[in-house]
Amino acid sequence: MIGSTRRTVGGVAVLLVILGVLLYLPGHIGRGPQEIILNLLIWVGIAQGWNIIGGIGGQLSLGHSVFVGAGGYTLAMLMIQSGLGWPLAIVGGGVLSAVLAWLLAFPLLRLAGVYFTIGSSAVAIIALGWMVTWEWTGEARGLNIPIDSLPGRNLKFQVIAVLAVLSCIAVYLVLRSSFGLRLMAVRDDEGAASALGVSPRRVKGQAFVLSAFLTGLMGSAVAINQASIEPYSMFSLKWTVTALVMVIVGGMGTLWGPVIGAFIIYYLVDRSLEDQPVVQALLSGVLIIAVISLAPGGVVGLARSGYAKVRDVARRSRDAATPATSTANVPEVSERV
Amino acid sequence: MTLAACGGSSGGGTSSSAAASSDAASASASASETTAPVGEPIVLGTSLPLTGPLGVFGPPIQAGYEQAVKAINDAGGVDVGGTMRPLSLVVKDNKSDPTVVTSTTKSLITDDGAVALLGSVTPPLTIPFSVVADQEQIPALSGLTPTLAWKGANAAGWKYAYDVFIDEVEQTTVNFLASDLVETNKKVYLFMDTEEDGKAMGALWEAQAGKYGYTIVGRSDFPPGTTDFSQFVQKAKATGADVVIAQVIPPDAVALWKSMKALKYQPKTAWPEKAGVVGFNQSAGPLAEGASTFGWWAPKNGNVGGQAVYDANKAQFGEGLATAGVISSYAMVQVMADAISRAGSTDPDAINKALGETKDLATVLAVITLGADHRGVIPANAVQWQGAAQPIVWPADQATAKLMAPVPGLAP
Amino acid sequence: MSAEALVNGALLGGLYTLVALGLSLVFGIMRVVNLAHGIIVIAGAYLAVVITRQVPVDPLLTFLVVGPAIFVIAALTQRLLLQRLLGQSLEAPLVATFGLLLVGQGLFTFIFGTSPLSMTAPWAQSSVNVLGMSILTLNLVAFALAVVVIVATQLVLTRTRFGTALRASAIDPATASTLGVNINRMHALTFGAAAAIAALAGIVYGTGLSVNPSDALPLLVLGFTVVVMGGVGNIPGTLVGGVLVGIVAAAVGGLIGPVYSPIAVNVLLLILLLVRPRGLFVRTAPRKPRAKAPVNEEVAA
Repeated sequence: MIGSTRRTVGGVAVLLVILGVLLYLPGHIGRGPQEIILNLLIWVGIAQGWNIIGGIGGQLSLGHSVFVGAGGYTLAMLMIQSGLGWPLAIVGGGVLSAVLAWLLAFPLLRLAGVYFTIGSSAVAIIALGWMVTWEWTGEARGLNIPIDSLPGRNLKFQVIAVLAVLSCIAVYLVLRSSFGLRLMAVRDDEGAASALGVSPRRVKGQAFVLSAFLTGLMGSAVAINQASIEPYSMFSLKWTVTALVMVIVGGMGTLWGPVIGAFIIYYLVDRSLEDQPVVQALLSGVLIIAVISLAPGGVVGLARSGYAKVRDVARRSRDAATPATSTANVPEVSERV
Repeated sequence: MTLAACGGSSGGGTSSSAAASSDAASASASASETTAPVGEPIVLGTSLPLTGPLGVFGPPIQAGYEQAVKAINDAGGVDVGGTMRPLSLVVKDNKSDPTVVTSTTKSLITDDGAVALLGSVTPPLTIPFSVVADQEQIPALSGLTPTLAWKGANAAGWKYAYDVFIDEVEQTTVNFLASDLVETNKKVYLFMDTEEDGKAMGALWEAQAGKYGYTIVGRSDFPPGTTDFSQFVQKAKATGADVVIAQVIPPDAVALWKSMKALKYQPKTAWPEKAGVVGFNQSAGPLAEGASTFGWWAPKNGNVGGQAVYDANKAQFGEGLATAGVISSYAMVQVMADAISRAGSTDPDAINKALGETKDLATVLAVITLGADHRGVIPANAVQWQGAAQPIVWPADQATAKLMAPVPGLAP
Repeated sequence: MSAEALVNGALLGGLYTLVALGLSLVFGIMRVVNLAHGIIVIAGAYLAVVITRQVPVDPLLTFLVVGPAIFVIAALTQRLLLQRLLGQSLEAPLVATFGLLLVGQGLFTFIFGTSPLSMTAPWAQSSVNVLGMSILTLNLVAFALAVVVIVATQLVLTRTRFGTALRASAIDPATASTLGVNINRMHALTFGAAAAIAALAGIVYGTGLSVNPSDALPLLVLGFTVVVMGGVGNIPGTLVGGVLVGIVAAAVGGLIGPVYSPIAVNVLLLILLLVRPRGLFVRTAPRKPRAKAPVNEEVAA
């Protein structure tokens, strides 16, 4: 861990407190708001999954949907074919996605930059094309999980809350770990990182697998929520696109970015503008153009620079009030030299 | 909003805002000349594809629901245990996306207080819709969804969900029986896509052909989005098949039709099922002339009052299956209202029980009976694109036009 | 698997080439992948649909209006929006053009709906007999156009001063700039030209097949595939790439089944991506400053 361990533990504790609040909610809030928060949590999980490889890792992957679909289908197949209970099936979904990512890393991580993006989208298309023809998994018909074997509404909410917070904790720990540091080093300058002894392939591979694992878990959650799944929606590019937009708007490579982004995109754009499909369709596109042109750090970036500005102004006015200490500014200049 | 209505007329008045529809319904209720229904509104919820790939179906379905609700309210509403209560319709857009179907259907129940649900179209949307209905134990009635595909999605049998439409086994026989109207060599070539219905229907056509004296002389399966059909059209042409049946998505059907025209393959009868149902004359232009598909309504099929609904909507939705879609949706409201009335209450379980007991109910669509498997099967017929209209060409006693053969749009 | 099928497939590859050419130009000259490329193709198609609905001419003629219109819109978009993002970071132009893709898709869905639209032309509905094979006239037209455009582009790039300046600005913009080349103008013109070619592809696509808003992403992927197969920034190579995709799709379709065509093409794409050297687009090119590295994360408790 970089930084103080106590700080890290404190941060995780905060997230766990949030989880506690979420676990308390079912039964204490209306079903409508519960449904909204449920969908929000699912998106947070999926967005955080992408954040690890796309945000922190800087590898713009368009293949995210593969892991959502893999997770969902694994859960469904495990529950239908082997009669496995949903808790283990969820884990199975995550594990299979991770294994899939490990395998895909071999071809995909040999590609850099935009070639990686193209390659990952090719993989996504191949996956969809394949799933539609694979008889064992129901081809285009899809799979139907018996409703009785699925958790009830409140339990389902709590499970999904756990998964979503888990993804946030994972991102938080990555960001505060030396692994995260290495990952960001590779993102920012692969050549330099490599020269310093970091293995880009290894680090990216680990990020890819972790991202897939978390995404696979959420994919299982989606399947539990839908009960009836089919390839066109489970392997749809829409998962990737939406997660990408959420993370960018919220702030790439940050902890709260995907959460804020999920809120903005899902709640504000998706649901509140349900009645205005045109505005809704245009708004997502306009938002990310605006964000990337004006505020590339997303909402979190804006908040940070805003906070920094306020702090600067406060410090300057404090220094101006005490002229004797104005020489304190001088060391800053010499530092830069 | 979406301008993609059959016949080129723009879908006027199809604003999808949820509030607008219920306001319209209650506004019409208060403006009626007969005794205005006084009781609390009965909320019917529907999740429709107003946007997205299936967006062309949303407006006609919405129109059917709205017109039926208005008509019932104008006539006094629904008699629920002695009180006349108006119907109130809440519409949400599911964007043709199964995941959104799930969330909008749930929100209709929790946010809008729907006591009964009305469905949309096609299995990918109707199945998740029905899943939510069974999970939340709210009765849900859908139309425009092939009943066997819907039934097959729930091995244990649907408890709260119902579907009124054609039976695919019967539907696939229509292609053969209608083709009997003209002289053909009884050879059939199939173009199927790899979507779920492509596989299912392909299997059915292969199973049924022999019983009607037809032979499937070849079959090509494609993924949706295929652009190059030329070598398969050549293959079909080489077999000399007089009957071509295709179950592909609209863009693929257009590409297929253009290939057939370019390669001078003119079958006697051609069936772009799925793609040709609505809007084919818009997308394929003059090539669509003579293309046939199955239909589900005819003026003389035993329906009551259907012609009036047809005439009221044909200007907006064309003389074809889009208007038949309006009629089907109208009838769903009639079935639901009848069930609520017989239930004598708006308790979902009471409505569900009453729905299951629907027998020989005369609606604008047909005479409807809901069976033990929750299906209401209505007979299929055959329609053909002639200009911008789709007149019924089979069976003979319900036909409104003569079957054109060979297919004029594909004349070399 | 007949020779006829392969020839038709190869010639239809001309259409794929037309679709991909603009992408290759922008990629090669400006080092930018325009994710909104598919939108430009369908924009050309839709614009042509609108024109042919009012004035019944051959769709190809509409290019006289569609081409310049799309050129101007694209050049302006590049100049006003994308130019400043070029130097910012690797992903900024990608994300911005992705935003344009979303906006475009929403816009076209709103205006035209989701049902496919198409245009009619005699050359899209006939075939000719060549050496005993029935060749779709559509494929011949597409191939001929592709060749013409490729030759013209190649000539402009290699034989004119403008083209030389363009190539210079691609290889070494700093030096080119000091020599008086207006880099911004070069980029805007390139982007505009690429868009005009894409619009032409759209017109052919909308006449031979059909157009609907959800074609934007598949067309983009098709463009990628052809570009990678032919070699990034390699203009004549795009023709090779297009023909190759057409042949592979036809061959796999005929031999195994059309279901596997897109899978085969994409697998081929993946293999080529791996086998090719890291590409002409070297990631550590100094002219692109990377985004600033964020400081340690803090949980905003």
